[in-house]
Formats: sequence, C-alpha cells, structure tokens
Amino acid sequence: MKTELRTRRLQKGLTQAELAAAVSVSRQSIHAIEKGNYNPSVELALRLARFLDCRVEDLFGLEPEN
Amino acid sequence: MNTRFTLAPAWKPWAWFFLLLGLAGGYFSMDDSGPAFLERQVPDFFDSHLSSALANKEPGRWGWQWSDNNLSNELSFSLVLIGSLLLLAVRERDEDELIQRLRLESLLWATWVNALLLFLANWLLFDTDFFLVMICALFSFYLLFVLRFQWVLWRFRNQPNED
Repeated sequence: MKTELRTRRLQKGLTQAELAAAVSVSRQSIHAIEKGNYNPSVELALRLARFLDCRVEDLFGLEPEN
Repeated sequence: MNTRFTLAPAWKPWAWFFLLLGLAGGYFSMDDSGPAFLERQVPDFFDSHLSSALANKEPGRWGWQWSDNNLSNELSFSLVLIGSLLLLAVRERDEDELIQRLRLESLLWATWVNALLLFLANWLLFDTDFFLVMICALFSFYLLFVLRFQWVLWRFRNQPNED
C-alpha cells in the first residue's frame, strides 16, 4: 500500500508529534505509517483523513497491479 | 479501541516488582530450601509413586493428606506467574493499535519459540534432564513474551524523529 500521509502532513505544516496527538496515537505510529511499515486500521485512516481535511483515498492507495 | 483482557498502565510497576521478586526468590529456593517461617504443613492431594520415589518415601496414597513443605517455591512461582501475566496484559500509557499489534505479534512469537524449544528438548534431553526442562516450561512462555515485547517496544520507542 502506498501513502501520501507525509506529504499531506507537511502541506499542513504539522510535525509527526502534532498529528499523532490530534488522532490519539503515538508519534512512532505516524512514523511507521509514513514509512509504509504499518497499515493503519480503517478507523485510524478515517481519523487521519478527517483531521487532514481530505479523503482516505488521498492518503492511502493500493500499489498498481503488475 | 478494543481493550478487553488488558489492565490499566498503573499495574506496570507492580508487574515488574512481582516478576523480579519471584525470579529472585526462585533462584534462591532452587534447592527446595527457604526461610524457616515458610515451613508449613500443606494439603497434598495426590502423592504419586514417582514423587514418593524421588523423595525416598514410602509410596503415598490418593486423597486428602498433609505433608511438610517449604512454601518458598510456591510463592516464587506464583509471583513469576502473576508478574508476567500482568506484564502481558498491562497497557502502555500511549497504547495505540500499533503497540497492540506488537503485543499480539510477541505473543505469537513466544508461542512459536516456546514450542520449538520444547520440541528440541523432547528429542535431545531425557530422564531427569527433561523433567528439569518441564519445570522451566511452566513459565518459559511468559518470560519469552516479556523479553520479546520489551525489546520490540524499546526499538519502537527509539525510532528516529524525522521532523
């Protein structure tokens, strides 16, 4: 799964810690999601999208199939 | 977030206290000795021929009977079990879904490794050596979980801040 979370966060001028606090997770979780090491739950993806004022599909998407 | 079967973070210091006290107590009572005030008569519900033979006693019998025992082993084992169970279930202060996943993965890892060690012991150790392994197996699963979970949690918390 690919993610645009880092780009969207930086566009809003937020640090990882600020975004983490806003959606009630640890900073390390935001780091892991941005690195692609962790796929968030549907609930967390929706909370991130709501806070960043975008759609879930703007943040996360499937890699194109070969 | 689903927090069933977990405990409040306030239990964490107690968990470590019980576990370390139990491990220390277990180490010092390995020879089945202990402080004199822990020498008690205890209800012994089943005295097998095997345990009687190991203790050089006459074969016992089924049913209620009393026997002399030093409770240091029992207390230590109880403390290790309680402490490691608390550590297994206690939530971190910043518990989120990723930490929950680390906890579940550590549980699975401990199950695999413990089973592998038992499998190897089954084929490589015999007689009383295997009996000793069985004693360790009473709490090895919990200790493997605690070691693995604390390690991955430490690595998780020390991820670089890229801001």
